[in-house]
Amino acid sequence: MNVLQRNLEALRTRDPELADRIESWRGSDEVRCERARSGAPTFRIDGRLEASAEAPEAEGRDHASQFLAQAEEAGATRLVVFGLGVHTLVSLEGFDGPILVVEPSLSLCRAVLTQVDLSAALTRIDLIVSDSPGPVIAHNTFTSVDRGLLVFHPTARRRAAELFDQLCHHFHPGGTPERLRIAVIPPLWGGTLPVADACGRALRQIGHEVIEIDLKPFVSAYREVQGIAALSSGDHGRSLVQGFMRLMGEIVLAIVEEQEPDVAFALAQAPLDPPLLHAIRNCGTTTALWFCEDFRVMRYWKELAPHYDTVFHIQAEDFAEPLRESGAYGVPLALGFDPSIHRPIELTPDERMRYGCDVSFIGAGYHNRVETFPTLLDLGLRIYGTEWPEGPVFRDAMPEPNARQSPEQSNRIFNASRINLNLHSSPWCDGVNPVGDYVNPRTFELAGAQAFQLVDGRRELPLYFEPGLEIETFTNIQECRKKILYYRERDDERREIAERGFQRAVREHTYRHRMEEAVTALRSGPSPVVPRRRRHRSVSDVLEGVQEIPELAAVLSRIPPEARWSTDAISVAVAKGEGALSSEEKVLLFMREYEQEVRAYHAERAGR
Amino acid sequence: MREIAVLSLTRLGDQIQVTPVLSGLRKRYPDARLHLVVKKAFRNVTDLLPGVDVIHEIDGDALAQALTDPELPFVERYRRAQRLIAPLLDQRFDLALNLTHSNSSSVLLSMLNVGTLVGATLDREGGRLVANPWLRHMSTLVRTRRLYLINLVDVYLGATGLLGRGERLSIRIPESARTVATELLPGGEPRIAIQLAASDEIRAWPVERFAATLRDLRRRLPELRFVVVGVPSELPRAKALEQACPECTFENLIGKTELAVLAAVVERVRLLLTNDTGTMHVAAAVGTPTCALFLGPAYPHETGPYAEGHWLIHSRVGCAPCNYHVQCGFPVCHTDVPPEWLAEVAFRILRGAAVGEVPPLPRAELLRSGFDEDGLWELVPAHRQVPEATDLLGLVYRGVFVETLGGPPAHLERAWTRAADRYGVKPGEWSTVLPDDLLPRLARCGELAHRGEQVAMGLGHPSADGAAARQAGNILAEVDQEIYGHARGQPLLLPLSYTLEGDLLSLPEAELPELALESAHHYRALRRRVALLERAIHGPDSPTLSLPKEANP
Repeated sequence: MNVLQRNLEALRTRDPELADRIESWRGSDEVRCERARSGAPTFRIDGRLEASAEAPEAEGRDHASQFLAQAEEAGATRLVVFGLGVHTLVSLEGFDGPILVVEPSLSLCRAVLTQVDLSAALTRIDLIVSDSPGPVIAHNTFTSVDRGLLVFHPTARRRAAELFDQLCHHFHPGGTPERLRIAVIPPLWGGTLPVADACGRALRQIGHEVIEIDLKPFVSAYREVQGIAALSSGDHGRSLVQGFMRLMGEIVLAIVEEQEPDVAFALAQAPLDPPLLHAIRNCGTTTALWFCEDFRVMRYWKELAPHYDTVFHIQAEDFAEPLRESGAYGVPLALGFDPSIHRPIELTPDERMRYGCDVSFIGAGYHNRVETFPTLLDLGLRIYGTEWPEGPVFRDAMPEPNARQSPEQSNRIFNASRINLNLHSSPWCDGVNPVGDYVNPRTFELAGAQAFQLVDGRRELPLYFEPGLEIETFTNIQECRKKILYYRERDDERREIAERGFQRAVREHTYRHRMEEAVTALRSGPSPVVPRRRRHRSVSDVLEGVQEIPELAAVLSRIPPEARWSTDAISVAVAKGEGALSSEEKVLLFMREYEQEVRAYHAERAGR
Repeated sequence: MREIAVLSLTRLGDQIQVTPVLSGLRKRYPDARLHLVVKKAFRNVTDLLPGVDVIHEIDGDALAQALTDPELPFVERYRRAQRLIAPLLDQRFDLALNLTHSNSSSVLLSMLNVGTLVGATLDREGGRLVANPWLRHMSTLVRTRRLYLINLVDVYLGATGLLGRGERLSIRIPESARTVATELLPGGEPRIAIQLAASDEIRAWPVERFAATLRDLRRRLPELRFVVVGVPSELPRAKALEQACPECTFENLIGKTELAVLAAVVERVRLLLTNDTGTMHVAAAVGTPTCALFLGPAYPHETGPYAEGHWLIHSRVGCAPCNYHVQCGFPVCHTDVPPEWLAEVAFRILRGAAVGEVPPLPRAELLRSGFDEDGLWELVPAHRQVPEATDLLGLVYRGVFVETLGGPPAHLERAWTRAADRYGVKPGEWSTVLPDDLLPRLARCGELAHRGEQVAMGLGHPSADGAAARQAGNILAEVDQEIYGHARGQPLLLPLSYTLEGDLLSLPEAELPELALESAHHYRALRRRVALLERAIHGPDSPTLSLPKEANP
């Protein structure tokens, strides 16, 4: 049995039709197999080499490790690889999830399968050979909830650019092909912090480059400043805190100036004031705020909103007009959930013991909750969260008094409770807020965990879930009590509602969906964002055309294509101390050193 | 030796300082072809250099433009860089000397097809390597410059085995250039030339100070004419100078002298008043006396004019010479020299009077260039100075390094005599000037060097097995770290650490026994340096001290 037959036999176990097509293909001779210097086969299609002429296996390993790193970073459980990278596939064994390979050229595919034994890989990957998007889009990876991550071999993308762009369009709405560099700017602390993390992950999943700005190291310093401010006289204390926040903002600005993102995507409470926002805009960066707070309670939006290019908000109906009047451009964008955190899980017996209960609630001790929950305590309500009053009323109901729950712990509690209570906070109502409109993240998180919830009926809830079918609601605390008693005894009904809510949530309400919407809005808004011309360009931009010199391309392929270009990138390519340098490597080193000397000379002159 | 290449990818002054090496090589290898690799911008300098057969130009400006042009595709930049160096790669050289200190030149040297390499290059895996102890020491000791009193030209000569053979700076001035110079400066009136700028702002004495000096000189010598030389960018300074000295007669030649004519002009004047500049080296080469101010990072012991009888001024303020690339907001070295004092120095040079009899300055020294008993260039202070530890140890280090690099043996008597003459510190009294921890640290370094030498010698024995070799390697690593620790704990001993570190890092690729013996040589050299320093400090009446044998590299 020759190599082709062995490969086709393996392929037949998954796709007999494709195996037949390849076997019978007598296509053009545009593909030629050549031997690289290392002895491994490499292929030339339409006169261009598909892989390194020097060491294609090493190049394949590099591609594979890049793909795996991208998948890990994005939390992707599926991988769609554009281009049949012969030497890449073998090294993708480390990926646990499904892999779909899309190869536009049947000729290349046959040539590869004739020369290289891929039988082991072919039994575990899905291969589609097509030069049109139809068969790809119909594949179950594309139609599934988790569409995974699209990665590509640059050579394949170059020879089938149109197909790649079409796939991108279907695969990543709001995402590639025009990959953006997005800085996610979190608040220093607070409930929006996990949302910022989730946004970063989601943006990566849809193929954007994310600059995460981490302010967590400054939190302890902030608390110190707060402590001193509390002891100071009013004005002085305030200016201390303001000064600290201003410093945080300057740090953000410094990162933006250095990293040159296309978009600065700030979450509510991010430490940016109007002068800083203008400075960021002056860097050429589009600014966006996701104001995921109640605009009626948190009034600071008035000072900030007009200084952002786009303000995303969670109150689709009532906030649009005030925003417009303030001069801001507003786009409604509901909250969501991150399926990598909030998901159905199997609990251990210990966890069941610890968290299992009839009714639970996770959240801070806001006024309306403190007022109403005492009437539910006799139903076995367990309360988790901070800022609850100390004293006898809630003491027995709080297994972990005033402790903050991590997102992972919360998910365990959601999964362990028969009924999860979700009462939106209100600082002024005694119970259910009769004019409450937006939907809190807990609603989506509970749905994502496939947990049954009773939520107060919000005006905008029907935009996201169908009450009574996908979610159960109450309008006052008496109704809540009644429904707890009702559902407590009805396992099947709870399970069915939770299942329908879960399906809707994963179909429409992940942070990935939100970020796709947000980027689409940013691209189509009054000042559409496009990838800006950077002082610092990506490696793949800079190295366009180096394939013309295969030996040079082989050296430079060691640099991750999405890395930021600098002369230091050459240091990555030219690995010192790992064998004799080639002449290409020496020329590259010469270029790097000379450029650095020239820049140092000019910098010194400019400094005087 | 048929084809010899010298890389000198630097500026005017550095090119002139290479001339003793060129003439020395020419004498030693009269039949060889001498190639000089220079930047295109300084191509015209090569017309003045003696003994060169082939000039290779590297268009550094075009390369710089290509490498920093964001519009140019990377592949095109690569091609341009490749094209630029391709002609050099076609050539086979028997010997190549890199007398440039940049990293790019070391990469370039590593690409050449060369038999013997001297100077900064790369090893086969890309690590930087300075293939010559003279140049290696110079590149590491630049960090402790006040203790390293060896002129750059002597380093070059040492690196090429030409030290102490009487090689001097030399340039060829075409007669046509002399004719032009005569037309520019007609008549026989007394003239001095002035170069106002320098390669760096911090190295340039303020124009108003030059102006005050010239006014004072004019008052003493009314017939004196002032010839201002320089490149067009120095024109604003020249204008400012003229405005500040309306009573002086200026001949402004800025931008009017190509290099050969500049040399002929400098040859025609009686004195060059300058900062540390390329023109200063031209003056030294044509035999015109100079009076030069060494400011900021400029260090006269290192780059002073390689000839006898030049007068140099250098600040003795603690930060002088400052590190390269320092941005100084208050350059006190610029104000340490009063203009009227400098005018007095210039006046005495012009009149042939005793320059050394000018009054001393509180915070600057006047130095006269000359050659020592072994033919190495040195600077002699005109006045006795308040001694500093670096002055004394600098005298010893000079002899110690020259000796352990294969030059003439160190003569401690000279160091003692000079210390007594220049600083009033008699032999045996050095400890009064030096810090207390110096001798204990030196003693420990000596012990460690001895230990290192023994262990390395054991490793060099053919019977050393793998386990023993690993153990010995670990011991040596510990010894090295301890030596570095002791030496770095006392700035006066930094040269010991830097040189050993540089030597061990530059060990050639070789089998273990050979490496071990080479390492042992470096430990022995360190022992010798330590012993010489100890002996110098204790003085001639310390019979208990014995010196290890001279280390022959």
